[in-house]
Order: sequence, then structure tokens, then C-alpha cells
Amino acid sequence: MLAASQIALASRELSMPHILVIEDDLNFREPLVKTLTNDGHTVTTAGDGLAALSLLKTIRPDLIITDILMPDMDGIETIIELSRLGNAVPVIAMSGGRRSITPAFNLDSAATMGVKVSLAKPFSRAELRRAIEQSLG
Amino acid sequence: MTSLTHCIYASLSASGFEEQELPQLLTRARSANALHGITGMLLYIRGTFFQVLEGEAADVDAMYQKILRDPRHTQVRQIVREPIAARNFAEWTMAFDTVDPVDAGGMIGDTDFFSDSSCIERMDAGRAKKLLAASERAAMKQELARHRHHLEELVGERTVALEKANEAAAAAHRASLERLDAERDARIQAGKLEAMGTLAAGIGHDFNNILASIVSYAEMTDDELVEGSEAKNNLAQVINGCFRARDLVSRMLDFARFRSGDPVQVDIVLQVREALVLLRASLRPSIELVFHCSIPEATVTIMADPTQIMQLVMNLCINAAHAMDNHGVIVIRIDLAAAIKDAPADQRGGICITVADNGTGMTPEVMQRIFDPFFTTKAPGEGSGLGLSVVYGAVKGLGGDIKVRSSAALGSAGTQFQVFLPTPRADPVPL
Repeated sequence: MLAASQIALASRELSMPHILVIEDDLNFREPLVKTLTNDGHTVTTAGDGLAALSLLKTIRPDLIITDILMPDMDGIETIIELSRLGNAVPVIAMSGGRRSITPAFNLDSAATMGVKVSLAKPFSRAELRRAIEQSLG
Repeated sequence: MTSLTHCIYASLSASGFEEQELPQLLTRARSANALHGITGMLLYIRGTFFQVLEGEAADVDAMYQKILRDPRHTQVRQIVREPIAARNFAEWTMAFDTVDPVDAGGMIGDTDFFSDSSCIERMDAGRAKKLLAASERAAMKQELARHRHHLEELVGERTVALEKANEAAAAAHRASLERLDAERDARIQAGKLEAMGTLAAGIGHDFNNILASIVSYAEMTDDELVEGSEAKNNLAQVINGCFRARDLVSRMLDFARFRSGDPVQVDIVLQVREALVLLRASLRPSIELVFHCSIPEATVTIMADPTQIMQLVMNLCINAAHAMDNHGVIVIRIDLAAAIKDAPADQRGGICITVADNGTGMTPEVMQRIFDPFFTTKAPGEGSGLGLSVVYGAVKGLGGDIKVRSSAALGSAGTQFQVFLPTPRADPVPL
């Protein structure tokens, strides 16, 4: 007999990961979610860091993909807040850059916050898949 | 008395004659008259001392010549000689008579008479005035001539001085106009770069997001298309185009970032060598790269972002290769700026990287816009027009300067870029 927790663990390993996408730009969030869903992922979305933190009280995603430049609470703040709350869920940071800051700079900042994988916008589906594999592997 | 037909006014002092000198002058005049057997009158009218001589024209003339020659008459400034009309003489005598009815000869040396101005006023006013006016006019003429001569000298000197000052002012004016022109050009260039940076920063993020959604949709659509179909090929071009656009945005953002990079100590020679290795790999074999360095490796460092230096050299060389249509020689030099003729005065303490090609050179119109963002002479799609403006932005950001000269100024075909970069210390420092 397997314990209930072990069953839950097994089902999670077998099923495709649950991904929380934090992105304020609907024009991009929509195709991103579609791409992830087409690949078989369960996707939950949030429009900014605050919405994401409140969602995280009720859901347990396997992976968080967050934009950096967002209103209210941006990606860097979100990542800092997540680590303060003891978050163990891997994070992928995405950025299109801002002001005189290149995507690389934003992603470097994210890296110093413990984000291991990042994507500079625009990225191909292949790059996205690789990033997810890297984060979960 | 009637023999006094001629008169000599010997103006002893037209100006600067002191009242207290009068007795002395009278004594001198009296002894002179006695010596020469002259009979006549001495008159003193408003600061002027006259001697009126009596006699026939020829005698008066001789007397007058004697006076002129007499070294004791040093005070005599001028001598006017004119015939005296009988009427005037009578009036004179009358005038004298009213004071003291003596003959003219007796009047000589009469100090009381000469010091009494009221008596002179009682003389024929017209005659006295004429005497005075003639004397004063002559004195003035002389004085005027002296002044005129002095003035001419002064005017001459002043003219020369003014001409010199004028030339100096014109040269200074030209220099300041040139400086203003250069400053204005620099400001315009800085403004263009600033606008470019603002534009890049403003659109960079949004543009990348738009590209990201295009790529995503295109890739999803791609899944539904038949392998090898024309639609699938077309869509691949769309996706490809999106990534090209991303690279362009990235270059623009790099450009905007250029002025805020963290500088570190860079071995300039090493960095240029590395850039040349990369260039050798990316340029066509028909391009020859020649490197001269008059500075030993690892002796001169500058404060910069190392990739910035590499990009700077690469951009200049790639530009040169394009300018020569990928056939020719690019000469890259590193020298101390002090060894460069025409190095800007404020850059003499640093180093100079020269990149010269033997292409066809540039027209003045092209040269004027060479550092403008998006300015390119290449066909659409072949060049972003950012390469040299990135170089310009980087050089200016490092506190350096860049000079460009083309065929006409070089005296040989081609284009030469000289990049002056400041070194943190005057002495070469080992790394």
C-alpha cells in the first residue's frame, strides 16, 4: 500500500508540470499559454507579482515563468518576495529589456536573485522548451 | 616821429610768457635796442610782448635781421613786419600820449606803461586787436603745424596698432567661430545619439514583447502546416525576420547602454589584438589586415569595458572592409597620442588607435553624417547604420575623441579613423 503522499508524488511525476505564468502583456501571455498548453502543461496565469503571490497561497505550481518589467510588482520584486517566503519552486525569468537596459541586464539581475534559467524576448519555442527542461531537470 | 613808417612785432612770447619775466625781458630788449641803435617802442599786450620799431623800410628791415641774428633774442618766437599807415601811427602816438606824452623812443623800457593794461585798452582797439590777432594766428599756425605733425605721427602709430589689433581680433574671431562650429557639431551629434538612446530605450521593451507574441503565434501556426509547403516556408521567413528584428533592438539597446558600462583596466594592445583575431575569422580573405603597434603589450591600460574596445575596433574594421568592397588593406595602428601629428590638445596624454583603409574614401557629405545613427551608404538591409555611431558614442563615453579624414585630407586614397582614448596615468603601468 502506498501512502497518500507517495501517490500524490507519483501522479505529479507522471503528469506534465503545472506552470504559473506571470506576465502583464496579454498579447504575449496568450500565445505563451497556448504554446505551453499545447505541450501538455497545466498553466495558471497572473498579471503581476501581487496577483501571483496571492495565487501561490492556494496553488502549488512546479515552475514559475515570470516577466521582469510589470506594473505594481515587477519580476525582480516578485522573485525577492518569493525567496523571502521560502519558495523552492524553480523560476524562469523573461525580459524584453527596458529603458537603456538590455534584456541581458534584467536577466542578470534575476540571476543574482537565484534564477538559474532565463529567456530574452522574443524566444523560440525550442528555447522555451529547453529552459523548462533545464529548470525541472 | 613821422619816420616810423614800418613796424616789427617781435612776439617774444605767444604763449607761456610769464608776467614776472617782463622786467628781465624789457632790460634785455632795451640793451639790444641800444646796441643796434634802434629807436622804437616795446608793447605788452595781453601776454604778448611786441617791439615796435621806427624807421624807413630798409632800416627797419636791417634792424629786424639784426634782432633775428642776435643770440640774446632767444625769446623771440616770431617776427612780423609790416608798413604802418600814417593814420595808425598817429593813433598810436595819441594813445601813448594819453599816458605819458613822450616820444616813442622814450617809451622803451617803461615798465609802468607795459604793466598798465588799461592804457593799452585805450589804444586804437582795432590796431591792437590786429596786432594781437596776427601774432596769435602765426603762433597758432606754428602750434597747429606742430600738432598736425604730431597728430599725423600719432595717427600713423595708432593706425598700425589698430591694424594689428584688428588682425588679431579677426584671427580670434575666426578661431572662436571655428570652435563654436565644432561645439555645435558635437552638440548636434550628442543630441542625435541621445535621441537614438531614448528611442531605443522607449521602444526596446515593447518591441521585443510584440516580437515575442509574433514568434509564438507563428510557431503555433507552423505546427498545423504541411511539411515542405510554401506556407510553411513563408512562415519560417516570418520567424527569421522576428529574430533579425530582435538583434537590431539588441544593438540599439547596447548602443544606448554604451555610456553607462562599468569600466575596468583594459590592456589596450591585448584587446585590439583579440579583436583582430575575431576580425580575421569574419572578414573575407581578400581583405588584408596589417597591425602596427609602437607600444609594448601590457604597458598601457585604459579604463573601459573590454567588449566595448573590441566592438569599437571591429566596427571600424568592418566599416573599412565594406568601404573597400571587401578587397584591400586595412592598417590598424596603436601609438601614444603624443606621437600623432594633429592630436587634439586635450588627448595628448592618451593613446591613439588608427584604422585606415585604401578604399575610395568618402565625399564631404557622407563624412558629415558618418556618425549619425541609422546613416548608411549600404543597400537597405545590408547595414543598420549603427556601427560608427556606436563607435562615436563609445569613444565620447570614454572621454576620448575621434577624427576622420578621407582621400583629400590624407593625400592618398582611402579613409582614416583616429580614435584617441585617455589613459588613467601618464606613465605606462605594467598590468
